[in-house]
Parts: sequence; structure tokens; C-alpha cells
Amino acid sequence: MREITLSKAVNEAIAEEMRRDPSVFLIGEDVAEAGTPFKVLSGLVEEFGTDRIIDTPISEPGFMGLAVGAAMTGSRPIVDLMFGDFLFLVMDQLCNQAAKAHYMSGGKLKVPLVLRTNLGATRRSAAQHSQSLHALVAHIPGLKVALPSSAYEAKGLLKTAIRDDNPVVIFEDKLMYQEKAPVPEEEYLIPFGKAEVLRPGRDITIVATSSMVQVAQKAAVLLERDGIAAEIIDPRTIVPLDMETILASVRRTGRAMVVDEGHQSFGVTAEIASRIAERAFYHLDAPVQRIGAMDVPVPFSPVLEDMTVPTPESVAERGRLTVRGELFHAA
Amino acid sequence: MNARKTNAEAYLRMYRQMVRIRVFEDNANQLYLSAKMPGLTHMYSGQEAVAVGICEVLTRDDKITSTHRGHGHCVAKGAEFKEMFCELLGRAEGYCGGKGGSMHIADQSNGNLGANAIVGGSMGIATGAALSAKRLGRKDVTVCFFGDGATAQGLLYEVMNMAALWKLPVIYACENNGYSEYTKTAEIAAGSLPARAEAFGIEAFKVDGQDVLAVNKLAERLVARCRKGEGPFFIQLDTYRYHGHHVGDINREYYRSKDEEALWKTERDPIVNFGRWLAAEGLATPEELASIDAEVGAEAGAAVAYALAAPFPDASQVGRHVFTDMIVA
Amino acid sequence: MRREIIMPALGMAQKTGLIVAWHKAPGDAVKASDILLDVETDKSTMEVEAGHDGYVAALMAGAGDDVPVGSAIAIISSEKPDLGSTPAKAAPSPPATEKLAIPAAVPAVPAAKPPLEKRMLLAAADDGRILASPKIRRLAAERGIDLGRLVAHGMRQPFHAADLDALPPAPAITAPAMLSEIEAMIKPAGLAGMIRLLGEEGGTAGRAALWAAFAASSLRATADDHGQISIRVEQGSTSLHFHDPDQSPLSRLEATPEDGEISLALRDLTGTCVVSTRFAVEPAPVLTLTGDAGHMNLRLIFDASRLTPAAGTALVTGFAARLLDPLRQLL
Repeated sequence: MREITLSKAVNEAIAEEMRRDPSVFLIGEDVAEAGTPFKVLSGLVEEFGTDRIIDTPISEPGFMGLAVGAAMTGSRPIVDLMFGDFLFLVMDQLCNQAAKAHYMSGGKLKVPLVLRTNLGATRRSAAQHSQSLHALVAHIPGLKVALPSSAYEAKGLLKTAIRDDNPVVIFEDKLMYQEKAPVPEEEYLIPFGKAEVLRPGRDITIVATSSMVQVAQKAAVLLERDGIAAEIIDPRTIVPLDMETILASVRRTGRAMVVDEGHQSFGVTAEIASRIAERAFYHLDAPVQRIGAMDVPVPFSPVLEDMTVPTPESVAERGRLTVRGELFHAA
Repeated sequence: MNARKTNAEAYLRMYRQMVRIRVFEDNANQLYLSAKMPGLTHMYSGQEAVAVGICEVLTRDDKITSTHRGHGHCVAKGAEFKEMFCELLGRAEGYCGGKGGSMHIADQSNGNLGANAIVGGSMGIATGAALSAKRLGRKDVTVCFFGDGATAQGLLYEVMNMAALWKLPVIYACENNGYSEYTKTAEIAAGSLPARAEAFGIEAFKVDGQDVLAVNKLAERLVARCRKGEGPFFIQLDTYRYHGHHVGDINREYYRSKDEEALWKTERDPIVNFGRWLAAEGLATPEELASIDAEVGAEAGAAVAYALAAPFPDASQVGRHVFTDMIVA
Repeated sequence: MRREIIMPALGMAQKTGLIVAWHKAPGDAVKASDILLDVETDKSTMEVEAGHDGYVAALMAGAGDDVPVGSAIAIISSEKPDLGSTPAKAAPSPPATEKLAIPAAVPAVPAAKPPLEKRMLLAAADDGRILASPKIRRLAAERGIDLGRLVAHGMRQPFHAADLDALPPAPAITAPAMLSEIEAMIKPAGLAGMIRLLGEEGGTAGRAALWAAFAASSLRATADDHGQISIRVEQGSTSLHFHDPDQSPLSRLEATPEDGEISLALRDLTGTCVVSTRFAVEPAPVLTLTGDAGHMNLRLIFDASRLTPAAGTALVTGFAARLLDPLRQLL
């Protein structure tokens, strides 16, 4: 199978959906000729024109609001939010308007929009361009949240998102834009709410999202050297969240660890760990472990920044302690 | 004379619609004060000529966005009393199934994209609806109703900028009732309001918001121009809210005097003045107008009685409509 | 026309309003815009207008009264009231129409915290607990294993599922063999005299010797190849052994020290309140006698691998026959 970058996969998904459905358009800052700072959208404006690949002023709340209104009135906008950190700018339009319109109107209004943005630290971009804020939007009822972990997932999930009748926020890992993965030529969709078991293992279940899937896979290789077989599950969407696949795995392995790049406190790791504890308690042979980003603003200095995110080594070490029953004594 | 005769039907419709808003609000006020209506609510009374003068020229496909003071827009855009009162009382038959209430009434069937409880919250939505219409080749025009207080929200300037850049068919209708919640607008707004729009190259107008004919005439012209792709436009409609910011804001002399209120109510009431004009022009006798008042009163009374007896939503509704395709348990 | 004036709901969460003062008295003429009363709500005092032109016909609540919103508190009539017949103050009437059945937000009563000492006791009680994962607790319960055994083996806590596999097997508890049982009941009329006779001659040892002789001869009759027959007779706390008691005359029968395996134990519980016994596995067949000389129960318990059912039955019937006809033994 051919291999393409995540960037190319996103580009293909948008192009295919725009060809299929004329109500789809894309709006955001420097999305047309510039093709975004990550060059994800290069070439689209040539095919679809500035009528459908719409460059905006630097007015995130403004174009987010436009997208909500357009979505209510027959369009399917894709909003390009250059950095995930800018979510804080669009919160009212996203959370008070888009997320609630369908409910507040008793189902009369629909807001089929996609907000594409990104997450991930270690690009040396410091505290306002490095955050992973997906837990923030997952907290708001009415928003679906997709977290692709590869080029393959990025394409399949984005196409599903564009066809969804609800507001969907999809976070791409900005470090992964240039990473290649096998992506079929023929069309495919990836359904929401279906987790993927990426690697089977009997000793511990590692639930990892987005950027942390690769970290977990590398950790699993390290653990294998110690005779520990880790099972890796990628939820792919956290709203909706496929707990059944996760629980089935944990009931088998008896141990679980959740790895996510959002800040550890009050985040995705906490949510998934607590659901495991609630529903697989009597199968747990060790406390559920979670590893998120440190609860500090992302620092600039590479030495400091690298300390704040989970690494294959830190994940493997925690997995080792968990499987060997040494957490209690290590603490 | 001929034009006047042709327009007679429209004039009487505007008169009736203004009366319907006033009567609706009087009933809503009573429902609230008598503790039959939950939540909080904001009266549109006094501003009827604005909603009616503009909505009279809109088609069903044209869109509006509304505000927390939104009952008037909703009525003017064609909503029915029964579903509105049901919504205000949180009943299953309300426009939003009882999930929105006074501040979130949306009536998609008549092009009302919803009241909005965030001041200025719907400016993006209105502009987006105009973008949608233009992109999809429809002739719809969107009117964005908002108050003078909302001109303090930054979103307005972001979306007016884009609307002007892209020549979107949207009319920003700023209902200047002189008060930003409990504060005189003069104290919160520097410079002139229309100048804000003019800075983006948007044609801006000022009109007497108590004169339904003046409002209607201006709206007719601007909506037609919008349809031809000459939008966007900005209108400052000077008007007055008879009640406080919300029902319950009754001791408000610290921000506005009773004399001022009395003056607007006695000298400048849009319904009374328009009624006099209709009579003076021979378009309706005072008796005919009184019978319209009585009909509307009876319609409202029946709708209130219906709504009070109507069932609340079933418990199964609580998890529906969070998403279009999933039920939240 | 009479109009009720109601206590208005002015605050966002107001249930009652406190009447601070009335500005009008019954009989006063009022205009709609006149201040009728002051109401205190949500820590602020508001002036409430009459709302109707007319006369105050009645005040139904007084200054200082806290009145539910929606209740009528005054009546304004269009005609001047005849105060002679109208009480100046009546009780406020509840809202005329049925109040909304809106579930009121009941202020949550905070769960009482246990007093400090109690909490400390709870914490102290935790100290004695075995630390074990939920999974090993579940598995131990399923397999009937007491986690105390892991403690007794000095295994390190907290216990995990794998510790169950490391636990040495419990001392083999051989399942008790299925034992055979034969019960008989007789009325040995001649026995009392026989025992009396023996008692005169040999006391209790004589009685034990009688039982031993009866038992040995009954047992020997069940098979041809019996070698030495060794009988133990238990009477209360004493226990006497006899070798081949059927081979010598009763009068010369002597008890011998126990050596080697016994062929049959005879437990004499006659004359006691005990009706039946069954002790843990006993190697030799046990014949228990209960009741009294007039009404005796025989119970033989034996392992079928040592005594066939036919032999067991023969033993019991032979012994019973001897009791019924003791002289036969003596001859």
C-alpha cells in the first residue's frame, strides 16, 4: 500500500469531501494560497477557488461564529484553527453556540461543522503554541472530539467528521504532519466511537491517544524486553468513547495505564481511568495508572519542555512497576 | 392614494403584529410575576416598531438572529402564540420542546435562528447565515438584531469586517433603547454607533425606531439592496424599552427617571401613534383597531390557558438532542 | 371590578417576599403608577406599583409578613369599597391557580462528617487490613482461599493475582471416604439378667469382656480366614483391649495392652443420653451401642474397603442375635 504523510492525508480528505458535497467549504487564517503554516492545505485553493477555501482576517471568534451560522443554514463548514491554543479565543462560539444550538432548539437547528486544529508540545513553541486542549472541549456536551494518531486515521476520521451532523473538533498532532503511514487509495471512513487495538498483549492495557500512541508503542517494545506484553488501545475518538473495547482488554490483563498529552489534572487520563475503575474494579490487579503532560505551562527551553511530556521510557517504567506489583513500594 | 390602498393590508398587518407583541409581553410579564413562569425574562414592550417594521419586508426564507429580549422578533417573524407560551413555560409543545425557554426560542420554520442569551452572541451566526446564502447562491437576507449594549462586544467588529470584505447580505439592526442593561448607553459607548460600521465601509443609517413606517420603508430599501449583493448594512434604530432590563428590575430610578419613562410611553408609543395615523388616514376606524386589540387579547388568553395546561416534557427528552445521532444516558 | 394584587416574583430565585410597608390603606384611592408597597427580596427593597386605578379594597397581609410569590396580598376595586363590611386584613390567599410542578432545587443537605475521633478510629482500623488488589480478592473468594494464608506465608503485600499461584498448596485434606452405616434396634429381654450375672462376677470389665466376646465371635462368623481378632471396647473414658475374646471362656477373659491394629472398636454408650455418634475417619469399623438394656440401638460404621456390606450386615445381625440370646454365647 502507498504511504503518505498525515498532512497529505488531511488534504485528500478535504478535497474528496469537497468534491462530493458542494455545501462543504473551508474557512480560516491563511488557508488559501498559504495553505496554512504547516502547508497542510496546499493546492486546495487551486481546485476549489477562494469561494470555498476562504482566507479570513485574524479573527478567530469571528470566523468561528460565521461557521456556526453557515452550518445552521445549509453549509458544512470546516474551520481551520491554526493552533489548538487559539481554542480559548473561540470558546463562546464553540461551546455556548455550536455545542448547544441543537439541544436548546429542541432539535430544530443543526450545526454540522468541523473544527480542525492541532495539539502537541516539543516543537519549542512555548506556552501559547504547544497545548493539547482536547479535554477542554470534550467536557462540553454537544461536541464530538476525534484524535487521529496516524495518517490513516487522520483521513478516515476527518471524512467521517465532515459528514457528521454535529459539531466535531478534530485535533491533529502537529509533530506528525510529515510522518508517513500506509493509506489506501480507495475511499474509506473510520467510524466514531470504535477504538482500535493496535497491539495485543496479556499483561497490561495501555490506552493512548493521538501523539501518545507512538510513545506507547515504543514503550511496549521496551517492556517486551522485560517479558511484559502490553496491549495498546487507541480510542480514536474520545467523544464518543468506546469503553467496551477498553474494558474488555482491562478485564483480561487486569492492569491499565492511560497516556495522553493533555495536562494530567482533570483531563482525558482522569476520565478514562475513572471509568475503568468504576466498571472493571474487580478485575484490576493494580491501581490504574495515568500519565499526562505535567501541570505546568509548556516551557520554551528544550531541556525543560522535554520533561513535561510522557516519553517511551517514562511510560515503560510505569508499566514495569505496575505489572510487577511494585507501585506500592515505589511510591 | 393608490399606493396607500395597496399597502393598507400591510399596514394593518403591522399594526396587528405590534399589538400581538405588546399583548404577548403583557401576558408573559404576568406569568412571570405570578410565579407561573420559571427562569428569567426580558420584555420587548416599547420596541415593537423595530421588529415589525423590519420583519414585514422579510420572506419566510430570510433569516434573523435574535437576542435575550427576543419575544418581539420571534412574533414578528411569524411565530405562533401557543408554541411560544409553551416554550416560556417549559412545556413539551414549545418551539424548542421546553429546552430553550424565553432566552433561546428558535423557530427554524420561520427563519428565526434563535434568541441568544450571550449579549452579541449571534452576530457571528447571522453573518455566517449570510455567507451560507451567498455561497449557495440563495437570495436570503439575514437581519442580525442586537442592542446598543452589544456594540461593546468585539465579535461585532470581527464579523462586520468580514461581511464588508465579502459583501455579505446581512443587516446589522442595532436597537438602541438607550440602556445597556442597567447603565446608560452614553456611559459605555464612545463615539457614534453608526460610525463603527462606517469604519469598515458599511453604509449606516439612523431611523426613529418608534415609527414603524419609517423603519419599514428603510428596511424595504436595504433588504432589496442586500438581495442585489449591495450589503451589508448597519441601522441604528432609536427606541425605548418600557420595562426594566429584566422582569423584576422595577426600581430603576438610579439609572433612569420615571418622567423619562412616562414621556416615551405617553408621547412616543409606537402602537398608539401608528393607530392614530391609520385612523387619520382613513385606513382603519378606531373601532376596527379596538377589535384587532380584542382579537389579539383573546388569542393570547387562549394560548396562555393552553400552555398552562400543557404537559411538561417527558423525562426521556433530557438526553435527546445533545447530538443528532446519540442519546446521552 | 375587583383585582387581586399578587406578591410579585422579582428576584431570579425568589420564593417569598417580605412586606416592608404598605403605602396605601384600605379605602385609599390609587392610580396604577402609585407605589402600593415596599417589598424586600434578595437583600434589596423594591417599590411595587398598584398596577390598576381604583381603590384599595383590602390588604391581606401586613408589614413584616413574608408572603409566597404569587399569593394575593391586596385587592383593588374600581368602586369605592364599603369598609364596614370588608375586613381590613385577611390572610393572604395562596396562588389562585395551581402552582407549577417544577421540581424545586432542594438545597442538598451536606452529609454529616463523622466526628474527628470516629474518623481516626476508622483510619486505625485500616491498619489491620490486608492489602490486596481487587482482582486477587475476587479470585481468592472464587477459589475459597483465605488471604490470611498469604499473610501466614510471609508473602509481601499488597497481594496480586499472581501471588495465588505462588502460594504452597494447603496440606492435603483427603476427602473423607464415604463410610457405610448399618443400624439395628433390638429389645434384648434376657440381657439385663446376663449383665447382672456378669456384674456379680466381673464388674464392668466383665461387661466389656462380654461385648468383646460377642463382637469377636460375630465378626469371626463373617469370614473363614480371620486370624487374630483384636477388639477395643470403649466405655466412657476407659478403653479395654481384648485379643481373640471369643476363643476363651468369658470368666477367664482378660484385657490386654493395645498392640497393633484393632479389628473392631465397640463404643458402649448405653445408659447415657447419647443417641448417635460419628467421629472423623476411624480406621477400624466402629460398633456403637446406645439406649439401655431394654431398648438398644446398634450402629456399625465402616469403610467398605475393609469390610464388605454383607460382612457388615452379618456382623450386626450376629451381634444382635447374641444380645437377644446371650446364653448361646456362654455355651
